[in-house]
Amino acid sequence: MITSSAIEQQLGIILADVLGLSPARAQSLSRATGLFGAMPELDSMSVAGLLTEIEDRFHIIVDDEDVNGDMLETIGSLTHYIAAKLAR
Amino acid sequence: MNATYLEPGGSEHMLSVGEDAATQIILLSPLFEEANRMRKTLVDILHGLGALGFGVVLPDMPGMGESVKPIVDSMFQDWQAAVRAVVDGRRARAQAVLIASFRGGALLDAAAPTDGVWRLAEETGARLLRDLSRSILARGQRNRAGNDFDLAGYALPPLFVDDLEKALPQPLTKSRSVRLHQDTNEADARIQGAPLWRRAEPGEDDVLTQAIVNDIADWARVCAQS
Repeated sequence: MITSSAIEQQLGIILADVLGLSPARAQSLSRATGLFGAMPELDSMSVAGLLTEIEDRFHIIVDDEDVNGDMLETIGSLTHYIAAKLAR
Repeated sequence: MNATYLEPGGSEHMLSVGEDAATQIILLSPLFEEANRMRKTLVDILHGLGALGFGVVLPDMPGMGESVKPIVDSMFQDWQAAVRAVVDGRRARAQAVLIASFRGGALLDAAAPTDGVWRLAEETGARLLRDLSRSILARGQRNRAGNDFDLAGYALPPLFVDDLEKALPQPLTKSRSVRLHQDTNEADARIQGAPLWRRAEPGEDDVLTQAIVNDIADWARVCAQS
């Protein structure tokens, strides 16, 4: 069973890859870091890319109806979503 | 550098180097927004392969890039016909013609027989469409304008969407599939690098670009000899 902090760490790597964050920026990410609407690099097109990368690397399926502001609010909320998917 | 090619629907733009080289390589770019994101990298790859003595072209598909044709007037088959036209045009002047396709470009690389195909992170049409429709979801505006689906700024005719949904990279006898190291899908080789086609800010990765150039060049030499 993958831990929540391991998911969070992997998510940070995916975000850095997808958005091209500098190493310093990537280091500064935390559970409270805001995502969609808060992170300038994360436009609607890169949200789509981010979700696809998450599916590929965690081997989960993200349902379209789950994609909303709450899920994409912070790294913590997205981690929570992935953890719930993995637990099924 | 700037050149044109004739396809059934008219004349389209392409970048071209090394017209007289014995081995010609056609670069098929990713589709839609991913094409813009990888444009700089693809132009660098074109020059990198050109410097190694290959003839290289980077054609715009009808309705994309510099094309004056509206995408709404294009069909998926038009893109396949355009690829056939580019392959025929290269064939006339070369001993070997290869295609290097990127992402959704792999959906078009079997449109005409070539001496070899090289693919980076090939993707299915269904998954590309999913990316496009998700970006609309994220914006909270699932819009349909008239009869055309406006997918992240691309007004695609419904028939185009249907064909793209079904499109798959075709199995080819002489093909080499390369993926990024973090991609767990099947591949002949993996290279280090980040998925530049995902980035909102068009990125560059000189190390990745050079790795791609070297891998395509090696594969082209193998294919041209056999």
